Amino acid sequence: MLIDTYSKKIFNLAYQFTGTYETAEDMTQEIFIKVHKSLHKFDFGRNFNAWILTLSRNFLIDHYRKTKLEKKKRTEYDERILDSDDHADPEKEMLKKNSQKIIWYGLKSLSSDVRMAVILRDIQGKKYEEIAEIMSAPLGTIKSRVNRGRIQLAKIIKENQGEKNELQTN
Amino acid sequence: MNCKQIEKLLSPYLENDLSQEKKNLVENHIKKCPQCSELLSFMREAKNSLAEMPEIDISPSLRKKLYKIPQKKFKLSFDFLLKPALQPIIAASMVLITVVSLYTLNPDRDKINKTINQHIHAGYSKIEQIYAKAESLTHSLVGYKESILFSIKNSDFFEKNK
Repeated sequence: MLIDTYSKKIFNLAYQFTGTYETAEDMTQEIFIKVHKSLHKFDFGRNFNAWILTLSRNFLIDHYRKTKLEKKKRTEYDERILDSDDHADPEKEMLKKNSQKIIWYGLKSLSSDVRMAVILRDIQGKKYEEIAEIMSAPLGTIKSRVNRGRIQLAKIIKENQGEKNELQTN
Repeated sequence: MNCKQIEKLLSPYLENDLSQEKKNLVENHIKKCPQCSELLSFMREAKNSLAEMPEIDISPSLRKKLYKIPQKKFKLSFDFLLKPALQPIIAASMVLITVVSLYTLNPDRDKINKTINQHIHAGYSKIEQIYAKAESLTHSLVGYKESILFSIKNSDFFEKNK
């Protein structure tokens, strides 16, 4: 039940955060071990969804700070992330893929807290209030992190503009 | 408002989360400032690209591994032994265990005991000898005590330092 409901969510969060498929699989396993060990501490008055995501977020950021592995490892762009989406126009599809590729690699240059806030807001579509609860930070801080993250990513897109223009002219 | 101040309002502007007054401020600034206008359009692109990233399914092998996890909690875990703080204690215990087992399992244990006893006795007798020597030295000094005190009192050493 727990695995069916949350494994996909946690795996995708780990994948988007670490940028590596294998690392995300390992992290998902570690997170579930931690969930099983900490279940007795869960206060049933609280929101379970927020609790499990807070635990996952803490684990991922702690692991990142300890190892800094993701900075080096986010080198692959998994085509699986786009394969599921069919687009009628191949040219548009290629531009979209390219744009997503730039953003995907761009995520690694964001600090762990900013990256997590952007992932939760823009990829997972969570409300700011929910993100503030998951990240145990004030609402204003979360909004500012998301804004900073988007500005950084916008600058990365601008830097890669030449690459995009080449694709368009071809 | 300058560009830095406008930057802070760009995300709320994209999310339509500004008062009409602030919205007008952003729009008026963007009309005049090509840099901020460009930044806003790239931010919109970033936001849309992120929103279009689909969730991917977990692999069957990962699912299998996850289903095995609950069984693990009943197993006895010795992970705590790997804590770095415990390593000196573990090393010392290993040395102690080795020494104790070498002693207890040794077939010539009686010989070892004898040697240890001999060493202990030799140590005792040496200490006793030192004590005896110290005592005789004290006795021999007692005879000279009066004359030493007399010579100190009469020496001009204290006179000179007054």
